[in-house]
Parts: sequence; C-alpha cells; structure tokens
Amino acid sequence: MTADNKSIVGQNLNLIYRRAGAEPVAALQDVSFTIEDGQFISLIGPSGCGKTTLLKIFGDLLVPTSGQLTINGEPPSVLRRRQAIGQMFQDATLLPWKTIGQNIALLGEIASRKPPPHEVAALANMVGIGRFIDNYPHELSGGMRQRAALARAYALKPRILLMDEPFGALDEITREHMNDELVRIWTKSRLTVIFVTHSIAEAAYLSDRVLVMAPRPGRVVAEISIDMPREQRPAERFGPELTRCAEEIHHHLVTNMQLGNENEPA
Amino acid sequence: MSLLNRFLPGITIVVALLIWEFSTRYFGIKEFILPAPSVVLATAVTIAPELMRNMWATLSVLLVGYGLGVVLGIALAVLMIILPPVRRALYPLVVMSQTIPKIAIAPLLILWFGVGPEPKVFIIALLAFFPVLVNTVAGLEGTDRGHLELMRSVNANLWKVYRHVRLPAAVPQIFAGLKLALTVSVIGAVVGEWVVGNQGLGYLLLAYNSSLLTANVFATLLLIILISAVLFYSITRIERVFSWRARLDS
Ligand SMILES: Nc1ncnc2c1ncn2[C@@H]1O[C@H](COP(=O)(O)OP(=O)(O)OP(=O)(O)O)[C@@H](O)[C@H]1O
Ligand SMILES: [Mg+2]
Repeated sequence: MTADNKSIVGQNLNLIYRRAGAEPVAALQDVSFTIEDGQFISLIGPSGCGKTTLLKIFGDLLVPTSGQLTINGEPPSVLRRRQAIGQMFQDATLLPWKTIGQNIALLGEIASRKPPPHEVAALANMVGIGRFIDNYPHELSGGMRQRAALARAYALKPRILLMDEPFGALDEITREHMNDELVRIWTKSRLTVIFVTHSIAEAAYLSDRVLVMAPRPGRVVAEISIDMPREQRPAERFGPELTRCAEEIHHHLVTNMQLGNENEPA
Repeated sequence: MSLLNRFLPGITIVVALLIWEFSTRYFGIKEFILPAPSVVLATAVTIAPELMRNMWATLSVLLVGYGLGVVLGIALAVLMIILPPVRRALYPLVVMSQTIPKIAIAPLLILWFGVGPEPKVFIIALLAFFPVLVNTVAGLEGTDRGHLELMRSVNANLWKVYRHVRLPAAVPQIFAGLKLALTVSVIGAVVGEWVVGNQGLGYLLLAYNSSLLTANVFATLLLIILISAVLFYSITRIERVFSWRARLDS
C-alpha cells in the first residue's frame, strides 16, 4: 500500500444519476486514474461530460454508484470531515447576507481556523478585490465574485483544492494573473489541485497532468503529462512545447467530440 | 417623481377624506349613519381617555398573543425542518386545524380559560402561529442547494448551517410571515374582544355600536388602524436591520 499513500487513485468509478420518473443518466463510466499527490491536475472535456460530477466525488459531495476513490489511501469522506478540502463551485455561491470579507473568512471560520482580518485583507488584495471587502456580493461583477470565492477557498488552507471552472468569467489578462497567483500558492503550500477548465491553453499552462474526458457516457479518454518546468512556463506561455501539449489535448478532444452532441440519442 | 411616489398614499387618503367630508354635508347624511371625518376627529378627542384605557387592554393581549404565536411558529418550523418525521406527523394536522373557524371555538375557550385575557391571547396566538409557521418552513426549505453544498464541503455542523446559511436565507420569508401574522392578529384581538370580556377596543366598538354612537365607532376604528400601521411600520424597520433582502432592495 505504499504507492497508495502518495497518490490519488480512482478505480472504475461509475456514477449514475437516478430520479424517479426519469431515465437514469450515466454521468461517469469506468473512470480510472492514478495521480501523484501534490500535483496540479486539470479536467477538460465538452460540456456535460461529467467534470463537475467527478469533482463532487473528489469532494465527497457525491458518492460513486460503484468503484472507489482514495486520496493518500483514504476515502474523500475522511478528508472532508477533517475540513481539508477546499471547494470552488461553478457559480461563486457567495452568501448574499455577508460582506465579501465575511464571505472570504467563512470556510475557515467554520473549520475553527478563522483567518484574522489582515489575512482576509491580504487574500482579497491578492485576487484584486481589496477595495470591496466591506461590500456585499451583489455589488460585485461576476468575475469579482468568482475571485472572492477563490480567496475564500484559499483562506481555508486546504490540503486539496477542487476548482470548477473558477476563471470562466474572467477576461484573458486577469485570468493569466489569477493563473500565476494560483501556481504561486500551489507551489508554496504543496496542495493538490483538481482544476476543471474549458480552456485548452489554460490546462496546458497550469497542469502537471491533464485528464481529457468525453461524454455519453462520461469517461477519461486520455491522460497527458506536461513536464515543462514551472519556472520556464511564464516566458514560454505561447512557446513550442506548451503549444505541442495544447495540440495533443485538442486532438483528443476532437477525436471524441462526435459523441458530444446532446441532441443525438446515445 | 420619487417625491410624488413617496407622498402618493398620503394624497390618496386626503382626497378620499375630502370627498367623504363634502358628500356627507352635501347629501345631508345623518350622523348616526355616516359621520363626517371632522365629526369623527372631534369625537376622538372627547373620548380620548376612554380610548386610551381600552387601547392598553387590547395592545397587551395583542402583543402577548402575537409574540407567543411567532415564537411557537418559528420554533415548530425549525423542528419540522430538522426532524422530517415531526413534519410528516404534524404538518397535515396543523393545516387542517386552520380550517376550524377560530372565533367559533371562543365559547369553548371561555369554558377552558375563563373570561380573562387568556382566551383572547390564545385566539390571537393561534391566528398568528400559522402564517409564521408556513412562511418559515418555506423559507428554510428554499435554501440554495449550492450554499448547503458549500457547508457540507467543510463538514459544517447543524448549528453552523443554521447560523450562517439557513436562518439568514429564510429571514425575508419569515418577515413576510410576521407581517401577515400581524394583520390577522389585530383582527383576532378585536373579534376576540367582541366575544370575551368587558374591555378593549373591540368591546368598545360593540358597545358604541349598540348605542348608535356611530362617530365613536369610527373614532375607535381609526385608532385600531393607527395601531396596526405603527406595528406594521415597526416590523418593517426591524426587517431593514435584519433582512439582507430588504437591504439589497433599498
Ligand atoms: N443532479 C443531476 N441529476 C441528473 N442528471 C445530472 C445531475 N447533474 C448532472 N447530471 C447529468 O450528468 C451529466 C454530467 O454533468 P456534469 O455537471 O458533471 O457535466 P460537466 O462536465 O460539469 O458540464 P459543464 O462543462 O457544462 O459544467 C450531464 O449529462 C448532466 O445532464
Ligand atoms: Mg460543470
């Protein structure tokens, strides 16, 4: 079991959504992977292929219908109970009755490690919303709200950070900035990051490993390692090596695309 | 424009009062049928001491009954959400109990509680209880699923889920229930006093009416309306402090 103790292993994960009176939906079928703990992992795939579903299994918000997932030999439920999983959902899910500052502190507060005000301020500054710390969420733009949710997840100081399209609502330049901050935090704290994105370039730039998914039924069709050293990446963002990786991801996405049309019967 | 909007309700009232005043004079309507507003006002001033004395009687049963109904309504709603079996066991009964005409059981209440303030308090509490319960249940149930998942992601305990998410999320609906409950409570207080006891504004209404003191009846009604308005306004003010929705709308 020594291998297990340093890795995240998914074994034949299946997840079927069942609801009375509706066709069962096979959101994930036989998903298996082994990833090293501490890595930066991206999940990429067409809309509806089960990325959010898989992420929720990582976060113990969904239990797989069959198969199992272990994180360093433990099931996700153990980590969740230890309050070691930071989650960023597809929509920001800020609480409208709390200020941005209170929202940022919330998860840490619940985990009995409430960040002190200067830390909250520092996090807000880091994601570029320092001026809005006393404002309410509805006074912020969509992208700013996502960044507040990011700060909230960081403030928890999790062991594993699950991010569901966190930068989808950001402009390209802010997004690059957020990417670099994320990598900086990840490098410093040696978290494991599972990062869902629709951007091939973003996946290539950020990841140690990219899991490419295909829909109907949702499954992992390729695992791509990106070996370029971190320090070189900012300068080589549009360089040949990352471009080659992006092309490889693109290739796998396109080959499995014909199944992505939701209007076609399975 | 916004200034006009602000004063629009006031203007409506003034215009209505003027029409009322002049038509009673113009058509020579008898005072015991419909007294003019000026007569009502003058009467109110003369009977003010009597009105005040009875107002306290009404206010005390109203506030105690309302408070009781509100506390019980919220408590039972929370209990129903925390323990679904409680809800399954009680909710249908509670809904059915609402079809009982509460005033009609007043004689029973007198039998059980005597002729003091207790049966009135009971009726008011019963009337206030239901809208508070239903709205609180709806508010607590309407919690955003994403917010609950967020709480689950850090394994938040029941108390923290309530404190940070469920209760604040339900506050706007709870206040809707509080306002509804207030209006029915006022009706309950007045009608309760018709049935039970020998004091209060409801009792006064009945007494004046049977003596054909119509101007006094109107003066009493005026005071009841005033009381409702003040209480309603107070709730709105409290709502502005506690409800994020009200803050968001303002
Ligand atoms: N609660 C649910 N009940 C039933 N089916 C669901 C539920 N949630 C998701 N699904 C279905 O499962 C499949 C995968 O959904 P999921 O949300 O995981 O996709 P996704 O890859 O995150 O898509 P997107 O990129 O659009 O966010 C979809 O076909 C969706 O319709
Ligand atoms: Mg998704």
